Amino acid sequence: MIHFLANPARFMRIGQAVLPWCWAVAGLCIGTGLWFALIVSPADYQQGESVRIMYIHVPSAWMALGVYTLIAVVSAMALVWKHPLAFLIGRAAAPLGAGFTVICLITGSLWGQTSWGTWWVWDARLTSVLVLFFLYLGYMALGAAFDDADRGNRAAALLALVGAVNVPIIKFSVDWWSTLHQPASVLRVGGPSIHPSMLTPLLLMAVGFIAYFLALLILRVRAEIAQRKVQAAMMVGATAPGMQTHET
Amino acid sequence: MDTIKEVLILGGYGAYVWPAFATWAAVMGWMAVSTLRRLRISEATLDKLQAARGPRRGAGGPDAGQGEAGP
Repeated sequence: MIHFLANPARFMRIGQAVLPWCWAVAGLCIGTGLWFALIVSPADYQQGESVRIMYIHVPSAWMALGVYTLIAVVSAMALVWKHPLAFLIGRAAAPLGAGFTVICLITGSLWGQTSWGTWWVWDARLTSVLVLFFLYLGYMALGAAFDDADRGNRAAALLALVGAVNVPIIKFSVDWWSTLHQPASVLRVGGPSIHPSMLTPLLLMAVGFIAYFLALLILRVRAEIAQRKVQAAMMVGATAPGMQTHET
Repeated sequence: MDTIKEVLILGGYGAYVWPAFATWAAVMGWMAVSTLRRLRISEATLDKLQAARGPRRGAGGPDAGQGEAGP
């Protein structure tokens, strides 16, 4: 399956077929999710109306972690099997993952002020998510830092793999250390501890976020492939005998 | 009017909830705009380059070897 999708032409053909469905699912789920989140779902008995931040904060946090995990997996594939598409997927996904991490950090800060009375605290969960954001920035910066794109891709892929150690740290930080951040209430052993009236919009938003990410990822990979073709064509043009004769 | 005021105040949490949703909308919007812009620029550059080079016969193109016969 992995090798099947590693073919750029095949990936793009499948991507183009899937793209309208991604937009449709994203629009439907985010639209319905927002309706439930802002109007239908009840206020929390302790947190009041501030709980509505959860419907964007939690799916963003899941996306931030999920996208980084995807980048780590495709980086491993790129380094092991040398699939050129794997590098492109990593490069295309990184800005989106960084965007979700920004949403997670800012909305978390706003929610923290209402729940804890502080915008920020250097506890394990918040700090490790901030580290994740810097890993995204480092991955993008390193990938663009070399004149030789292949070297940049390899260096960024190595950083992504090393940084993957942060993913379980983020996930289990609330269990391993005493943190101000609450423990998991959805993805936990024994099932979600959250009421269905709140779980439904949360899951709708999460599905919408995933579909939105996939739609943008397909378009970004298409842009990366086009960019790669431009670079290749320019290199061919620069080394073509006709071009050299013309220049000399 | 009172309803709008209630929605904005949101039980005293409007000053936190609405900026959170505004941030979310802005970042999600930025993701889409930057993606579409990048795609438009890349494909326009490629089209221009291919038009300047003219039709090629028998050449594999920049992504030769990545077609259907790939891995």
